[in-house]
Amino acid sequence: MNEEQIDTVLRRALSPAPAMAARVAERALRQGGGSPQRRVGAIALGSLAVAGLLTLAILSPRPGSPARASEVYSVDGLVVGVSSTGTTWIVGPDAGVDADQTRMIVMRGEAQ
Amino acid sequence: MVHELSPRVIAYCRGLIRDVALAEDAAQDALAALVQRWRRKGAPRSPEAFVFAVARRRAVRAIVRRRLLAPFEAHAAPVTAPQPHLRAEQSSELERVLGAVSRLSRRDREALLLVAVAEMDYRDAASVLGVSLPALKMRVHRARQRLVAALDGGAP
Repeated sequence: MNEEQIDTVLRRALSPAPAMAARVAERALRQGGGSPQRRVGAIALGSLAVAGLLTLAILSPRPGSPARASEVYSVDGLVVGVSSTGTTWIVGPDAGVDADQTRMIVMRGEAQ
Repeated sequence: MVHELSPRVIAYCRGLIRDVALAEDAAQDALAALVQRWRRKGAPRSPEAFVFAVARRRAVRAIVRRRLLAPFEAHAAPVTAPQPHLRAEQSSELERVLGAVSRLSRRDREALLLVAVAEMDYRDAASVLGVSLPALKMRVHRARQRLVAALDGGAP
């Protein structure tokens, strides 16, 4: 094997299936385009957040499929909830901040 | 743009993390960050460099998080079933390549994955890693040599 062939071998080994690549792209587009309405809901809910159980039902876009936060943290002024499915939510005053700045995922999972 | 970048970002993250699910998450986050950036402030100077820089940070976070949680997951996680849809031959090659890549130094691995797998040009890849162009070229050249040696059965 020579150095030129190594790139081909790497790409062949690591390239995802087209279906996976399409799925990730679609999810990213949805995640990156969270609606302002959901952010307003998150800000309102943030003021209600207390240590303990927090219902995130109003953040769910699908009535009847509420997510519940099993853990609630306060991190650098943000209220962060972790749902029972492991999804992380930022529900504090800065819920609309850029995901790249916080390195956390805003309105991920069920809220998409 | 997002659909075009998706397979390359996933492949890059997969090379760094060696975990398909975590790589998928990191790639999705990076692409979502690009979408948000584009919507709020317009296109970055190099969307490609932007998304791979974010993907790199997400991948590092995923690796750190996995290391932190590993002791707990060893007790809590169910035994995962083998992936029947993967042919043994493909799986074997993947493991062999990933194993060889993982034995490279972190610097060499990142440089090689950006150029060879993410198919970035050298200048953008150097920008993502924050190194000079000659330094990046040196890393990629060294990584290729070591990987060839490793995959051909020699010492990396």
